[in-house]
Formats: sequence, structure tokens, C-alpha cells
Amino acid sequence: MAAAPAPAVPAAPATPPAAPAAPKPKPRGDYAMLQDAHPSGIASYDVLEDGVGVLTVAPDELFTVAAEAKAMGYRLLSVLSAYDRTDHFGVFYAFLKVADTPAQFAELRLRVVLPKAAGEPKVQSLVDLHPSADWHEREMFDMYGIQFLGHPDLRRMFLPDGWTGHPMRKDYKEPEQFVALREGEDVVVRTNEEGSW
Amino acid sequence: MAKVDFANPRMPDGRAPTSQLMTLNMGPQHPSTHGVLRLKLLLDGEIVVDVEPVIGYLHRGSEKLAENMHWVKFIPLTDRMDYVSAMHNNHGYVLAVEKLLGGPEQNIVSERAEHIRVFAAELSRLCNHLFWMGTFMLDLGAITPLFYALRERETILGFLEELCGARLTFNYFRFGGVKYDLPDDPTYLPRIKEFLAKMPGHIAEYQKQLRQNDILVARLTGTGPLSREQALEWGITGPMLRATGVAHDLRKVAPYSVYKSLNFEVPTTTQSDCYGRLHVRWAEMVESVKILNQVVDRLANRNLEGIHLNPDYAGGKILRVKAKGEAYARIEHPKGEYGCHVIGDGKQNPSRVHVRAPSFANLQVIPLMARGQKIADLVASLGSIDIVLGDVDR
Repeated sequence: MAAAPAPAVPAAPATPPAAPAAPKPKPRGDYAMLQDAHPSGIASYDVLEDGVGVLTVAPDELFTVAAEAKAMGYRLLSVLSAYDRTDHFGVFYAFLKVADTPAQFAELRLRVVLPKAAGEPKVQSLVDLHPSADWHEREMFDMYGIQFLGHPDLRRMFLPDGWTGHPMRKDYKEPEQFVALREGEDVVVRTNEEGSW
Repeated sequence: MAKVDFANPRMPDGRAPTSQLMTLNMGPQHPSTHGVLRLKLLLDGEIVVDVEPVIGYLHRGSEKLAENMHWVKFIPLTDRMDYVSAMHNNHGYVLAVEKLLGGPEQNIVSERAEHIRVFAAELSRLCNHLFWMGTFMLDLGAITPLFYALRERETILGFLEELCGARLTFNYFRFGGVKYDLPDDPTYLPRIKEFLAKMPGHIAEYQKQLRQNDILVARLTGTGPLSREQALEWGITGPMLRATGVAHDLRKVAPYSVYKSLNFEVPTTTQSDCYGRLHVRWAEMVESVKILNQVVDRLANRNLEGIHLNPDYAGGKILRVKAKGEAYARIEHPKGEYGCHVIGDGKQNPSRVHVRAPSFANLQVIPLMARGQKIADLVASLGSIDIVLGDVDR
């Protein structure tokens, strides 16, 4: 288990930048190490409302950055979530250092932003790094239609295989009819005639 | 985990099977799958070659529903995810939203309310472990332990009913506190103290009865093994992880609420099989009683500051103004890490609520635990994970 992250080392040059309206928070500790190691892959650092930082990673460098984080000791994939904003999809990851004491515990969060203008959302899969990403990625594929490239078995997690569309998308329309396809069975069609299921 | 090829089955080591393998469907209506879990089994005689869990039969789209209702209205829906320990679901969601409202320090909950929260949560943890123990034994064919477990659970549910009026889906936590203060009844806390004094004896009673049962011990020892490495790789948390020897408990390593000020141990064992998990949960019940004793003493003797619900946050209006941004909060649920990822736009509905359900994450390893074991041991392994299908499917 790696030691607690080193205190922040300001990497900024001696000349201060022109006073910005709201100073951007500076990454510290492991966040700073990751950003220094992957200047091209990490677009920005933000602090969320709960006070924990998050690095925004380019979708095609996610695996490399996550691999480095794992090597730093962030071995447990705690959560994998996705969301739909007006102009982009996002995938949110949190990794934990599993610890026996508070001093050893640490959390690292990554985020991938997938602009809708760039077409169907695609991001690297983390299954080879964290096998536990398997079901979480399938869930997010099911709900948001995000393609996790390199996932061995990207199927729907909860909804029937015959479902069309990805219901957690903000522009999802409730279908006129529901077609349930089950293995080796006849097609079951239910129509939404009364206006409600 | 790669999809199981039922048409061209292979043995776990990649060989072609030497005997005729059988595909067997188990569930979704099967009493020992704890709900509507379906397992597609590949069997070599009585030996499990591979398992493919199929879930989604209880999927109610809670996360989508959340986007179409007021922030507060989602609290009762969290009850219906893991209905065996609904208090913890309330807690995780409320904690995440409070981080949006009050920032990282979230000093919007009074000390008194925090103690009532821990009190409710630990009673709920006892309920969860008792019910788990009873149904786990039921899976193994022992009916009697369920009656012992439910006897104590009934008492606790009675206490919780006095506290919030409900026995299963509590809907008790609110942003800024809890819905009701402790009951006015002056005998309430003394009765709880009395129950807590008896509880270690009850736990010893279960242990005595089950440990002395050679059949049970033989059945559980070595069943459903999971190494420490596997547990970390597969994102296992909670008692399942602690049974592999890692003392990772969010109440200890990333304390929330008032857990920092409470004395308790994190029980672990290195015997990572079904028996080890039973052992860890027994020990956790003892620790919960320890925590409850401290909390009840503080509630009874000390004038804890504040009221049970912060009036500034009790209404819905504040959410429209302040619930902006993104937050993730995690708590130590009896089953593992329970987390809520919330995004708000300053509107009355959330923009996104994702629930990181411990049952969902922990259920993934069932093929690893079951491969090469007897089909009857698969039922034991499944029981030892402690899943609730409402939590798996959401």
C-alpha cells in the first residue's frame, strides 16, 4: 500500500498569471502526479461540490490513465456512472485505495466527456484493468447507449434484449409498442393503446 | 466475465468436456435466489462448470423515475431498492444531496440528528444481518435459525416503528436531519438499552447452535472461496471483502456522520469462504450493539445540540436554489459500499441520480465462487453474498 499522497507541490512558475475571475483549483497529490504524467490525456481538473477533485480524461487515453492510477494503489473501482447533459454525455469513475486506516485511504475520480456533436458516444473499456467494470459498463450501455470499446460482452444489463433505445437519455421517447424478445420464444408485442403501460 | 458459450461448452481450463454437459435454468422464480435472479448453469453431473447470472426482472427504472420527481420524493423510492436495510439507502441518498446543499462539510445536520441517524442505521444493520443469517440458513435447509433471527428482528422493527411509523420502508431521513425526533415515551431509550443488554447473549446463542452443528460447519467451510486479490479486482466491498482479511470499512476509513467519535472494531477473518462470511457478520452485529450502546447513552444523558430537522432545509424550495452541481457520497451499507452520484441543475428535479448498489457489484463474482463446486454449494455461495434483488435491479 502506497503512503499517503505527498503534500501539494506547486508546479506553477514564479510569475503569477493575470488575475482570473475565479481561480481554478490546482490538483494536489496523486491528481497532480497523474496530470504531470499525462499532460495530453488530461484536459482539466475540477473540484466537485462535495470537495473531491475530478480529472477530465480524453476518451482514448482513459485506459492508460486508469492503469497508472491502479499502479499508484487505486485498486478498487468504486463506482462507474454516466450522465446525459444537453451537449455531452459523461462517464464518471471513482477509484479507491483499499485501506485499514484513514491515513491510507484515498479516492481518485476520473471523468470522460463525450460531446454529442462527435456522434455516438464511445469510450475505452476498463474491463481488462478492473474486471468489476463489466456489469457497470453493461448497465451504462443499456441505459445510455455508450459504447465501451474492448468490452468482451457488451449486452443489455437490465432491459430485454429486444428493447429499442436507451431510456436514460434525455431525448428518449416512450415507445409506441414494446417488443419483448426472449430466447427461443415467439415475439410478444404489447401496444400502448390506453396511453399507459 | 466472458459470456458462457452454452452451444459449445468448454471446461474452466479450456479443455473440451469429456462427458455430456447439461444446461440447467435456475430461477427467476426459485426460493433460494432471494427474489427474481435467474442463473443459467452449465453442469457436469453435479459439478458446476459455469454460471451466467441474468438480472433485470425487478428493474423498475428508479433512476429514470428520479429525474421526473422532486428531490425529496425520491427518498421513499430508495427504501424500495434494498428493502431489508432501507435506512441505509435513505442515508446514502440524503448524504449525497446534502453535499450539494451544504458543501463538503455539510454542517447542516445537527449533532442530535446525526446521532438519531446512526441509531436508526445501526438498528437497521442488525435487522439486515439477522434476516440474512435466517434466510442463509434457510437456503441450507435449516429452518429453525430463521425463527430465532426473526424473534430479535421483530423487536427491532417494533423500535423502528415507534421511531418513524414504518416497519420496512421507513422514509425517515430528510435533507437536514430526520423526519421525526425520538418518541416522547420516556421508556423508549431504557427499553432499547434493555434489549441491547440482551443482544450479545442472543448472538452467542446463534453461534452456539450453529457452530456446534458439524454438518453446517462442514458444509460452509471451503464453500464459495474468494481470494483477496479476486475480491479487490471484482470491486467487492462490505463483509465479503472483510472476510478476505481487509479491514476496509467506510465508517472507519472515511468516516461520515458521527462514526469518527464512536468506538468500534472492524472485524475481519482470513477464512474467505461461506463460514468466514457468517463469522464476520456475527462479529459485526456485536460491534453494532457496541455502537448503539454509545449512541443511546449520548441521546439519553447528554443534551445533544440542535433539533432533529434543520428547518431551513425541510422545505422543498431551498433545493431549487442550491441543488446545483455534482456530488458522490458513499456509506457503509450492511452489504457493502452504497453510493449515490447526484447531479443537480438548480431545478426541483434532479438531473441525474445514480445508485451504486452493493448487491449489484457483489453479485458479479458468483461464477468465480461457484465454478468447480457442487450445485448445492452454489446455493450456499449465493446466500453468503447477501443480495437483495431490489438492490441489484433497482
